Amino acid sequence: MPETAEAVVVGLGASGGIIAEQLTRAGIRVLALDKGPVHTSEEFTFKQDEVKYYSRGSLVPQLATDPVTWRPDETSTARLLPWAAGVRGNSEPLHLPPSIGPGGGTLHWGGASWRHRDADFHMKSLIEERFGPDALEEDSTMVDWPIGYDDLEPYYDRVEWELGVSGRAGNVKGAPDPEGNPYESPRERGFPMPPLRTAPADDRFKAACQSLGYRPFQQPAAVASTDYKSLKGCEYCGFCHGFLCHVNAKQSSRITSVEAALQTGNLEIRSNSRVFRLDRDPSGRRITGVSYFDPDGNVHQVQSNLVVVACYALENSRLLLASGINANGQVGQNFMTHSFGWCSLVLPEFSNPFMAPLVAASVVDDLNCDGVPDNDEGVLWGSVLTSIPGDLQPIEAAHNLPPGMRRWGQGFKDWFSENYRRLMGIHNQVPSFPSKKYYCDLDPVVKDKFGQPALRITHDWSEHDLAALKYFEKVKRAIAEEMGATQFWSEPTPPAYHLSTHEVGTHRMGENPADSVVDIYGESHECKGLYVVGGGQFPTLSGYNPTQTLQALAYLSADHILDKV
Amino acid sequence: MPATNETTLTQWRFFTEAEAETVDAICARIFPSSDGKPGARETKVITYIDRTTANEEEALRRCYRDGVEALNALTSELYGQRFAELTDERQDEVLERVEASTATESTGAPEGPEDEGLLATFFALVWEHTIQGMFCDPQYGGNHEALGWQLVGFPGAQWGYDAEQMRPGFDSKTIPIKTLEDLRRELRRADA
Ligand SMILES: Cc1cc2nc3c(=O)[nH]c(=O)nc-3n(C[C@H](O)[C@H](O)[C@H](O)COP(=O)(O)OP(=O)(O)OC[C@H]3O[C@@H](n4cnc5c(N)ncnc54)[C@H](O)[C@@H]3O)c2cc1C
Ligand code: SF4
Repeated sequence: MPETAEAVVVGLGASGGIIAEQLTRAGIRVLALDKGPVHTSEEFTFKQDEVKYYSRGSLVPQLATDPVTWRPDETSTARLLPWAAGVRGNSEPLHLPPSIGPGGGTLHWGGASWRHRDADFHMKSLIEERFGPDALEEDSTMVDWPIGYDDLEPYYDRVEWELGVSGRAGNVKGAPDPEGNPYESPRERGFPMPPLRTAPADDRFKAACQSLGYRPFQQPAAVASTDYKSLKGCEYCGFCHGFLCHVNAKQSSRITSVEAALQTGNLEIRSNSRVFRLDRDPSGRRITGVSYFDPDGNVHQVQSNLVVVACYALENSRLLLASGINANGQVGQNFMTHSFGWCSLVLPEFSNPFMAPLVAASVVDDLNCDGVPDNDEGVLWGSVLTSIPGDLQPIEAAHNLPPGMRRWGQGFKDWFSENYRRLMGIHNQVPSFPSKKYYCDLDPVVKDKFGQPALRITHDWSEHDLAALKYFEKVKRAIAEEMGATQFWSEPTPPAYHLSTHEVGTHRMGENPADSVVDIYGESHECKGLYVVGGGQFPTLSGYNPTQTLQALAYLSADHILDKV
Repeated sequence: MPATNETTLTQWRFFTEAEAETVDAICARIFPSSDGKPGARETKVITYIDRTTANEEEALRRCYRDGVEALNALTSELYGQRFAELTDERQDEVLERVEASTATESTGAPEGPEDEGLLATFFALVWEHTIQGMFCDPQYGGNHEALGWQLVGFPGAQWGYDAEQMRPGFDSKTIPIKTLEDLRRELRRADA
């Protein structure tokens, strides 16, 4: 007799943690299966270790155990992610799927916590209104969201107040605050915590942006600036993005929702348990449970008529495909990601870039969304521009040197010893647009060690991505000049990688079962009782980071599930 | 010529003495120490690489074995000497030549000593490991006495920074460097 469970949550990351908490609080007994390990408190305490977390990527899935392949187009053969594979080891741990184990991606994320703007929910209409019906390329599959900002506002509020976000509001019920984000859509109330102290070079960034006529304000951050609920105030250790937090200042579902769910006594976590199939009744229309491998490769089955799959946009679509739940062919379509525009500056004074979390910084939002000015470059949608004054350790810094400079020898040594303490970054992220050309499916050849097919990504940077990267490069260069930078350079564009950790769209939500995978609550159109949640639901990607929006959607899904049971 | 007397006495976990000599010579060209400031030798990058490689998978170990062999074959052909026996200038010329072949660098494991991209992949690997060995926590065997961190002004494993330290322009070399072992010791003391 297979085991039965009242509800199964697969993946205890950002979204799975929230749903597990809401269900267990309502008295539902939840079995959570997560393929990663439970990280020990020893690991959290002594995480100031760049070799372990950056060079060896010890929190993220490794390609040897979790293969993912990529090809730029259908005529090429997909290979294991070429920017992360090979004997050099994991020199790109941040361009693989996010960290695993209870906490998921929120174990090592940066904590940039954004609400989308109202405009983000109508990207398609706004682009077509402004630039004409032919502005988007022929293969575009862009659609507006089936819900709007107002639908999500109460859920954004819950993320901020239940989980903890610090920042300064710019628009509470329509009343503007010049210190906050001048472009945010109206909110019911401000943040539960004031903004963080900023990293050293941020002042200079802010002043330069102001003198160029921008309206910088502080990045809303999923990092506690003061003790708040289960979070402690940040200590600005600077081993943050890509690392665990030793004081529980960084909001991670491991210490917020998962911990709260455990305290109800209704959550059982089974770590190192890898779900490989979603099981259905003979009609295929109803979920009946899941099958998983334990660490020794033994197969187990759990029966349940309520299954929430929250394994990140990529693995979510892989599981649906591997389980044959794809009657309308939409699973894996509409793959989107960010192309990152990283640039670096050398400043005339010490910036000490190793201090503070990544998000102890200002942002400029003047050029985001439909706020991008009219331009000849063909840029249809903008991006947030973020100051990155902190959270940079020496090994990572050595991987981003000015182009043309020899990366070894006395010249390199002189440059690096002189300038490491004077570095800072400016970042923007261009959302890719959904297109018929960019999708995920099962790799026909590559399998994991359990014999399960790898996910194959078909994606390349579009003309629009390149145009927008170029446009923002100029903006960043002007800011750097105004800041008095003595050197400025950008990472090569387009990026060599095609995973930014902001992958979305692969199980789109929509009202029409013919052209979407799940409804607005994340329930599968095809298979009832099966919820597939996370960024995979997004119809379009924004210029903002995705997590607060997928956390808000998770609260929405949980409310809906609880209404039904 | 072996790096220092101390390394000669070390029991290598992975390298043969000859391999260690070649790899050490490459590391010393990546982070040289002729300016009197610590480089790869003083921070014991070779110890870091030896320990790391001992625990690594076969493809990486083979890349070291085959890479050393191919590099010495190349320098024997060019100059009739092993890499470590060449002058600094000659070593730099060879490494520049190897690096220039980066275009053919394969991302997969090299197929063997005859693999075209082998030397470029090997050099890229030694480069990665040299950076790691310079700036790792000393518990890994490199960054001996935190000399790498001192060189660049990185205070190492800290619990946090206060507002005064976070002032723009603050001289971070005034912050006492800590390692993970220091943090462990502090917690043990606090517990006691
Ligand atoms: C380095 C880094 C920095 C980031 N910074 C930011 C940021 O600043 N702001 C922002 O908004 N976003 C950021 N992100 C993105 C953020 O982490 C993700 O958007 C978010 O975690 C996605 O949530 P999720 O619930 O979809 O999946 P995840 O949080 O990734 O959780 C998925 C969970 O599923 C588990 N799992 C996967 N497959 C299986 C399986 N087959 N069986 C069982 N369990 C499985 C995993 O172990 C994991 O616990 C960052 C990501 C990374 C990697
Ligand atoms: S910088 Fe702050 S939030 Fe980040 S890991 Fe350190 S203490 Fe935690």
